[in-house]
Amino acid sequence: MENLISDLIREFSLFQQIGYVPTAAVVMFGCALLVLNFFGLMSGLYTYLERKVAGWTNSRRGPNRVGPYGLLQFMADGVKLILKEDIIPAAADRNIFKFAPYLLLLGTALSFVVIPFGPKWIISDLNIGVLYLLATGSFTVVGLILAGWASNNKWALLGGMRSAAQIVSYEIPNALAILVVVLPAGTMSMQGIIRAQGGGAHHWFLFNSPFSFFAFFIYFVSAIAEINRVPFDIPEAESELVAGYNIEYSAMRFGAFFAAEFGNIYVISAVAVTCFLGGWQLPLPVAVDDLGTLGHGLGHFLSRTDVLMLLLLAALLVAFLAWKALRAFVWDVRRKRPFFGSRFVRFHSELLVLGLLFTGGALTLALHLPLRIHLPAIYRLIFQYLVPFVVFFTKAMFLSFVVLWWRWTLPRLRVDQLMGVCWKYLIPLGFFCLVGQGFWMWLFT
Amino acid sequence: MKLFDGVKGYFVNIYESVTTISMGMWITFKTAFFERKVTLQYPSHDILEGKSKDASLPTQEIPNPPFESLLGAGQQNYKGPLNTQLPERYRGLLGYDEPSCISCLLCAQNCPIEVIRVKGVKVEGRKGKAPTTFRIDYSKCMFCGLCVEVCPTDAIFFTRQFEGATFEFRTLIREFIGPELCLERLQLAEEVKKKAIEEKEVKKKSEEKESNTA
Repeated sequence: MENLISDLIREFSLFQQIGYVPTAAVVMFGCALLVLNFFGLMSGLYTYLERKVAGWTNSRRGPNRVGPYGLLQFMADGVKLILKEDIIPAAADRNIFKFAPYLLLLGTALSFVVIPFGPKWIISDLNIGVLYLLATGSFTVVGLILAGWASNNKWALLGGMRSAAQIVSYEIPNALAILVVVLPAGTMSMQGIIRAQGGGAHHWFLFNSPFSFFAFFIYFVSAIAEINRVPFDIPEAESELVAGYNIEYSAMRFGAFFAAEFGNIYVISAVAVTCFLGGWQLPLPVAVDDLGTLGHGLGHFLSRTDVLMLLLLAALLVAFLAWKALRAFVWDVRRKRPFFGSRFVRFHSELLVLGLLFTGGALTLALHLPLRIHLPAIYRLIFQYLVPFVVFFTKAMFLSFVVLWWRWTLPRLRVDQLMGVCWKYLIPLGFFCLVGQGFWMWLFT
Repeated sequence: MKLFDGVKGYFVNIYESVTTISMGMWITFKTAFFERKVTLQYPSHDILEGKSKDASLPTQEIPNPPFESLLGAGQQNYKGPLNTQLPERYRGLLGYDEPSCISCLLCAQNCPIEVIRVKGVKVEGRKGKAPTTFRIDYSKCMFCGLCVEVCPTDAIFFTRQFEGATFEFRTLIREFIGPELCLERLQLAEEVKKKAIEEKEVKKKSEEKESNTA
């Protein structure tokens, strides 16, 4: 964001005239607008995805009536929630009751400040990014307790108390697991952690040492517990507490709780991707920072014939896939199938994606030959903005899918089991991993 | 030894949780991506006919594809395990066969909530009485089937129609006999009555004559 402000002031005389502070205000507002919209859209999409995954695991189809593939279902739900009556119980503490859901939303929205979207796309690359994330994560517990207390309902209060116990406990293994990553990275900034990993799956911190491998799972489990997802959702355990902390809420305030919860899924997936899965780094052994600049990377240790053979193989594969897809397409056209739901889309989209991946791989290899090709600026833009974003987003969506998958697989833990998992297993293992990682680095670097 | 058991139990717990969770995840994964969907997409699936309304093509080409229409768009013929057709003796909305009704009022008398209202008159050339009013209040009907059981001529019966939703209550009250037919029947009945009265008078007169002659 600072770079953007200085760039704007340097490039445009309008911003030069209005000065630094107004420019900063404009940029802040714009960034907030973008990120909050992204947050809202993501939480909406997660409600859709959640219902879809629920359907699939139950052999159902899930929502498929509103919009193509039912994708607009979340908008219909949102409109419904906004139009509903907002009831505040007579005995509730009105101001706190009204304020609590927004506090929860605030915590989630603040987390998006340090989540990277690409090597140059981040609102603010704080040098204490990870610490900041842990701090904003704790907003949740304040919001939940306030909601539970202000509702003046015993179930809500119990839910709030449980959430306090749970989140405070699970923050410890969460922080420990992230520290395991901070050790080899040597920095707490999100972009710094990603840059420390480099391209290629074997450079990711997941495979840095056996300890960081276990730390990934510790982080993931404790993060799921921290955002109150199943199987750790005892604050809203409907079999015991009716609905937990949000029992008295209705209309969009109720929706705000869920927006925050679903937004949090993206936050934890993004943090896991950043810390353990290489962020926006490609799984190919090519550093994203080098993409678009020539003469770096694999070209140094792959000969030209190797690359040509690889390209030939990729071309053959792509030709085969294209042939199959073309046949399916002809099949569709002959039978006048609609495009969505046609055989082409249903059975060959994954093949097309594979083909694209292979072409992409071959292209990156070719780009890193010391060949002295001059790329137009648009390719540099694509490589520096679009490709990293797609890579990051794909990884994050995969982890989010695992979160949703767990929700429809695992039963809810009892309170004592929950505390047992945290204090008896995750925290000791977290400390073990932290110390082990230290020894590992002492031994091997 | 006890300490050793405890330590062993600790690691056995970790091992078991990991293995059981992965087993469960594999089961849901299999169900999600490799099993037939059971959903019967009702409004686009004709339950009475047992086939899809807008699937113009047979889809017999691919017997059991993985990731089969995960997103669920595009209506195809149903391939899941459910019975796609309503059973033959399904209790839907009540139907009424006017020509065979004899207005015996058995259905109206048997109905526990006075759903059915029948009136009948005697006309010529019809067995029993001809109905002038036959009204069913679908908003009250609970599909118990008592009327259908007692009907001696099967004039009232269950159809397999079940889509009775409307926006107003009064549309749920259905008259099966229109006002014109009702009027016609009433006039016919009047004629029958007049005839009967005339016959009676004729009889009386003849009796009187007989008595007079006697």
